[in-house]
Amino acid sequence: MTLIGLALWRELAFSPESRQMGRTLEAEFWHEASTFYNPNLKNMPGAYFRGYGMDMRKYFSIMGIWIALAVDTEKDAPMPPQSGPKYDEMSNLATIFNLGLSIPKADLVSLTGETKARFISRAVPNSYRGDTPKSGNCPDSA
Amino acid sequence: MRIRRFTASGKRQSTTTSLTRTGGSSSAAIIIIRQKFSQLLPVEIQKEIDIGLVHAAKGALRRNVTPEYTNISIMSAFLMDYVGTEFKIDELKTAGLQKAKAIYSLYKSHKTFSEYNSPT
Repeated sequence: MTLIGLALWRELAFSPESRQMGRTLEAEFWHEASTFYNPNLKNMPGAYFRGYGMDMRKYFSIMGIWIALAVDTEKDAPMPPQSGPKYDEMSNLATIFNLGLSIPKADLVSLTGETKARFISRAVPNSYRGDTPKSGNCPDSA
Repeated sequence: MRIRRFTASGKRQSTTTSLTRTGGSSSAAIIIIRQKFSQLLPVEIQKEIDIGLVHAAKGALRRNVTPEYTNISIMSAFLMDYVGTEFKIDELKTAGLQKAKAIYSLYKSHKTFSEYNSPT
């Protein structure tokens, strides 16, 4: 949903300043996502904030839908093979198609490339005041 | 409001109510429809959409989520900026831009979003 919001800034914000902030954050966020995404596992490592589950292949996540559109092949799509929990998230396709995909080329390549074992750390700010992790909608929900 | 939507539980909600409550996700689709396809809608529906969006933006202003609440705040910033500019409501326009700048600044200070790694 963050990518949809930033795409709204990019495409429909009135002020040039907001559009530019949207483009910048969208590009940096795609880099962040592609850095942590493992194409072999078709998944991302935790910790998860507000995730509906821990495995993008077991339910339809919005991030999984974005990546599926970016890689544009069924075999590389981090989604359940057919049906699965949270299928209603596919309703975001109409919004996404109207806003368009804007991902840096290098990050697109890394979403489909082979990955080697690596160690990545990231310090996440701890003043988060949003919802707790979701539950009840997916078999593997947090 | 006569525009209706159905929730997952099957209950009907008016556009005004649902937009105000979500503050963003429904507004995204509604704003895209308004921007790109309004010519396909009856004038009466267009007016109701406008009313709903103003209510939603005022709800976002009142809710005033923190920038750490990543996707909600990003949507709120856009909604307030869009509605404030489009309907000439300076309070909303200013609040939207300020929230957008706060989100941007927070991201730059940590190089990641607070709502870290959320696949939602």
